[in-house]
Amino acid sequence: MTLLAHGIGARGDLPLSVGTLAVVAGAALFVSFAALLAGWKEPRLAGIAKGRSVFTVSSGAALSVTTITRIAGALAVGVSLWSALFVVDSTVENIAPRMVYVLFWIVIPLSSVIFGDLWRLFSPFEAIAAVTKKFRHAQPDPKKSQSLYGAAFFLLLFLWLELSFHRPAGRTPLAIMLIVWIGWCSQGAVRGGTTWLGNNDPLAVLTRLMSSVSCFTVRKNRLVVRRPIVGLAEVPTQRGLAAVVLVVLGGTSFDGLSRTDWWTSLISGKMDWTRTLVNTLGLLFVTALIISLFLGAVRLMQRKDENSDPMFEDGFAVSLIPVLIGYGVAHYFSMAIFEGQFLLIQASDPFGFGWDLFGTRTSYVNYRIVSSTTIAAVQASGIIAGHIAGVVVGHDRALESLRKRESLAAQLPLVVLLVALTMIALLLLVEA
Amino acid sequence: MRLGAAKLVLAVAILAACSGNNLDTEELSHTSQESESGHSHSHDDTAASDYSLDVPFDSESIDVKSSFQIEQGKVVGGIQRVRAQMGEVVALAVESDTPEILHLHGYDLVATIEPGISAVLVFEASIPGIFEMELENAGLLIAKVEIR
Repeated sequence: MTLLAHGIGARGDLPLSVGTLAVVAGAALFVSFAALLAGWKEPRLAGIAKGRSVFTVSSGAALSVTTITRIAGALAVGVSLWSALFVVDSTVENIAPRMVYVLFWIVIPLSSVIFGDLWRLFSPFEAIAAVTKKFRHAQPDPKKSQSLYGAAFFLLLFLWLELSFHRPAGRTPLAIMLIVWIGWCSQGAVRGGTTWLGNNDPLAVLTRLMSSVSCFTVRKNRLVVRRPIVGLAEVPTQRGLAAVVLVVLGGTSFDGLSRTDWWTSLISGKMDWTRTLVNTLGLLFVTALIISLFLGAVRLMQRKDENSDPMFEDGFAVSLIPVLIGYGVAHYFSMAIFEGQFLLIQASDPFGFGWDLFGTRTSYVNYRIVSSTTIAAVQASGIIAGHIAGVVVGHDRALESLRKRESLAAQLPLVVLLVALTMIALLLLVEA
Repeated sequence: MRLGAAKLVLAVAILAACSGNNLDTEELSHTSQESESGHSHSHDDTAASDYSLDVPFDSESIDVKSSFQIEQGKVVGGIQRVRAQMGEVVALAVESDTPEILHLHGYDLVATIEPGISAVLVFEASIPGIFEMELENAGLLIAKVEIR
């Protein structure tokens, strides 16, 4: 989002220099083919993904912690809904736009990349699932793979609202979105519990996938530490996994495209629903392009491998998760830093009653808290790290699922796809 | 936003006449700025860190100068990108055929526009990044200001 109606994302990132582009692109190409040629010949990641258990918390302690965090989560969701319904329609006076587009959509997923799945810890819907557990007759079988198409659909709707609709930060669209989300997740939590949430709450699905690269995870009250990225090997192959990843990649790419002067000129002077229409076509076109690139590459691999696995593409979508994280970091790191400050200021007086809960009510956003050089470095590192991790995980996944493991030709389309996605991301950042 | 906007209109003092050496036909409106967080709570009157400079549009101390004209909801000549280096003095003048509020995000400079009276924002480029300048009511993007 270049600017959400009035004010979210007031400071845009400077374009990456062509020199940075050349260095990152060169490194990406080198790593890609080096990994193919000199790479390991047996799948390895799953073996080291187990990690080691650091400590075990008693179930009582776990309950206390999750009670506190989920009350905090319920407060965050509740304040957002209340503000969307009753506080004046403004991105300055109303906290709901930043709660949704900055806290839920950017800060929680990106922090989960480092700290592990934060939404599972804070989600009030998890509390509903826990409380209603004993009343559920049929416990869903956690082993049985559930489809992620529902989550992908809701993520697409959300991205449309954020990037295509002409009033993304308006009270009414935010209120409708929050009510649909809360309703959908609450009924699902009651009926299907925590398993349902992990596969259907769009935010839960996104943070679950993104947190798989984190060094930290929790298994049955045990805090487990593992090497970064290896957790991707444990992401289960589910129907719709590719859809989720591609929809979010498409949205982020369209966000990048809409920051270019070309797109800005195209929609200049187009107001209201005309603007929505043009931005909808843009979002759908970019998403379709990313999907075609992916499907083209994966189908080619499948044919070369003479493989008939019906979930072939979902298996390889895992290698796009780090790419997605790289895109997210590159696009939203500075926004998390700047708009996060604004959110803290707003949080001191969320309803406009004159409160000063955190003593930040009269503070200002410090746009110089990180330098442009730092931002550019984070963007470039995010893209390159995402690319490297994508290649590593893709190679490992290929050794696991391809019938002709030794065949470099079968792996080549995936590497070309990852290089293409990385180049697209870089070009959009240079044209920002 | 209505409350905030109304207050901004009040906050902007329009200078009746320009200094004698200003031979431009257009009258300059004085610029005013407030931090977004400053007017997030209309009852509080905190001093905003001030980026705006009280310098006329034709002053020699201005390094980067751009004028824009808005006609029938469109920017004449299309969207432009204004580029400036850190430390330079930037002046942006906007004329519109409808009354409007001009807003440069990030620096949060605000000025009112009346038909026939263009608004001028003059500031020192001191935050790097890309900032959108828009007509607040119409939500019309006029230019992107790139400061590095």
